[in-house]
Amino acid sequence: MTSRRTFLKAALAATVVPRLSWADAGSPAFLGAAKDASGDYALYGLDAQAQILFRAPLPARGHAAAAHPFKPEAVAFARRPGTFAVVVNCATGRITHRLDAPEGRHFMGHGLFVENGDLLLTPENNYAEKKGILGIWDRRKNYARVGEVATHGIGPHDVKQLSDGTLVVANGGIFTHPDIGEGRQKLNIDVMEPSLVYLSSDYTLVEKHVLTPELHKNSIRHLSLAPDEQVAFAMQWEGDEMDLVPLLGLHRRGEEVVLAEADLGEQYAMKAYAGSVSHSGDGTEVAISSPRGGRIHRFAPDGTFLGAVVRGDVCGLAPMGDGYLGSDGFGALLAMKEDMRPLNAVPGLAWDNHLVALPELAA
Amino acid sequence: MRKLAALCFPLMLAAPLAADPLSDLLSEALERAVNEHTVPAVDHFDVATALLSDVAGDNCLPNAVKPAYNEAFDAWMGLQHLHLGPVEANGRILAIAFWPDKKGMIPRTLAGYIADEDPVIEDPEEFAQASIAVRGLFALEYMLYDEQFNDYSEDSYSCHLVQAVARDLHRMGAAIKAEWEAPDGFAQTLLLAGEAPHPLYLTRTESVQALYTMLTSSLEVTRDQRIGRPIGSFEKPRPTRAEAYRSDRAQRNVVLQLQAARDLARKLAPGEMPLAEAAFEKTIALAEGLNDPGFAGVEDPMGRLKVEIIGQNITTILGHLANEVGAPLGVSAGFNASDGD
Repeated sequence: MTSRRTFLKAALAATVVPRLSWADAGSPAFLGAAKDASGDYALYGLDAQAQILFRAPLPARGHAAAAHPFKPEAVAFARRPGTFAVVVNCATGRITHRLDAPEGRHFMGHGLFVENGDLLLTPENNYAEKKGILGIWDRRKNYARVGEVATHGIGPHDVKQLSDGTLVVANGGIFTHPDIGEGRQKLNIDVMEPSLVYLSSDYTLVEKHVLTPELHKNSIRHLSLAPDEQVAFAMQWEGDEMDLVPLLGLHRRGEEVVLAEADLGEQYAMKAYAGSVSHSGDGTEVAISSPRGGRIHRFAPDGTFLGAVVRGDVCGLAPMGDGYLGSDGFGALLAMKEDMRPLNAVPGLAWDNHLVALPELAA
Repeated sequence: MRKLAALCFPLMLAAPLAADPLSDLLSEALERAVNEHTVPAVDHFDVATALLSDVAGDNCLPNAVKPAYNEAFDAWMGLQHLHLGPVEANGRILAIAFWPDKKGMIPRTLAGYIADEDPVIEDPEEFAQASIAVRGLFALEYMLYDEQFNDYSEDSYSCHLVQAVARDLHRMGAAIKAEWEAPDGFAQTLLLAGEAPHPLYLTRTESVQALYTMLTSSLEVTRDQRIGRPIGSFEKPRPTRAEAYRSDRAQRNVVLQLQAARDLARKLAPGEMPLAEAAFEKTIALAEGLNDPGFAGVEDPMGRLKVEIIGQNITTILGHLANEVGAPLGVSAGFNASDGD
């Protein structure tokens, strides 16, 4: 029950605290984490032309970030299997909260704001019980941990939300333990079973797709949602890198999964690894990146291969214009579609795995 | 003086791109690597495949073709590590050397073409679009060395297939040379970077980075694939997973690849690379001393160990290259490529 005192405190806070918005952080279009030449890690905000708007120091190497829908707040996750995440106020560059994974759980490097930004969901492994969960954190309560729900698979890595509130989760299928191999050693490759799972907005399982048995080592890792809500998922093959396996899946609710491949030579060149996935800015196509193969592959929504763009170490991908913004470990940010055009290059800056696009906000 | 400049260079990286702080060191390394390593490699493959095409055209029978086949494969071992531009365009790498063929596509597809007497071999343009499983050095290896295929007579379908594969290899060798060495070709793309007619690399540092990545990843492929595949596990070595074991080239390919990598390292190195030189010398000597041309010896624990040790020595080479070549040039393996999520 709200006491008179807390009510007054809240009312006071509402009047005194300035209502910050993304405009106060320069209205970034993208967020990305990077390591700089001196070895320090930071979260960067980028404008629509990929120019740096702000830099917020991070305590360790990042992986991906979750951006609040309208507050200039981003949650940056340590790379897998991190046990902490930090909330960055992108207007001030300050870390305002630190989220520690509860005992027996670790983060996967991704997160998602839901409920109008009031709740943060974090894919985690409950390694004691060997099951995947979404941790639930309440921003209104200073990011208190308020619950967790099952993802119905091991190793949930990425999560997105459809417009009707349905959640889609990429269960990577991989089990790791923080005490074994610095927490990155994969312990269940022979029996892993990745899945694409839909949960209703009250977190009940509504749809689950697993790959055919011969593809069970194809870890479903990253997700992109098209404007028309087609789900694209990128995979990382845990078998031989010379195996020819599809690395992109396309799905619409209630339909069969479509697996997409390039021609033989190009497929080999990806080295059985897709690092990121993104739909194009106009939603008419989708691309996956392979930093190991030094290229992105573009596909039509029906899975038809459209072409490759060669770029060493390219990994981060986000929708931009009618194509993509790509980032690499050599400091470059590139507009990519049939070919590529450099937008920004900071020598010594190594962009980490992912770029996060922020929704265009009403002025 | 050269050493001192090497030490200073990484500090300059922090300067803004507009000034592109290109040291003479980096420029010289790039020019040496492109002009004295890549261009001769491209030339050699063109010449060797031209010879192969001519020889097979005159006499398609295995014993007549084998010497030219081995010449062409030798030349490929000097080029195959440059997964760049014209070499990797249009799936050429795989069309030239489809290995490993884990699903046995080559013998299956060859057998199908031969049984059907598929007329695609008659037209070079059409054959260029044929399955990569019937093209390139490994299809030819089956035709020349494998008992299932190599008992053919002159003027048979198989004979014309061998001629078509040889001709197609030279078509690709000539195309790579043309596209590499043209005035607006890939050599210029590397040398001129951002100012090239067809830019792919934003700066010369990126060009050097690309070549350095080819150097290190090619050694990793030799360690993890050429050596790693046949040695398998201690309990289960896999000699028939060795590269080109049918033509007894598994050992030779490792030696030639190490020599090609050493040459590229020497051209890129801004100064002396004494530790890398010593490690290359030791590793090449070990590989040459194997006396196990097809890696059949990995069946035996001692034979397997000898091959395995070469792989371990390659890891040592890689460490020295990072210190003696990568660091002074200010380049390293890719941030994302070398570390999955």
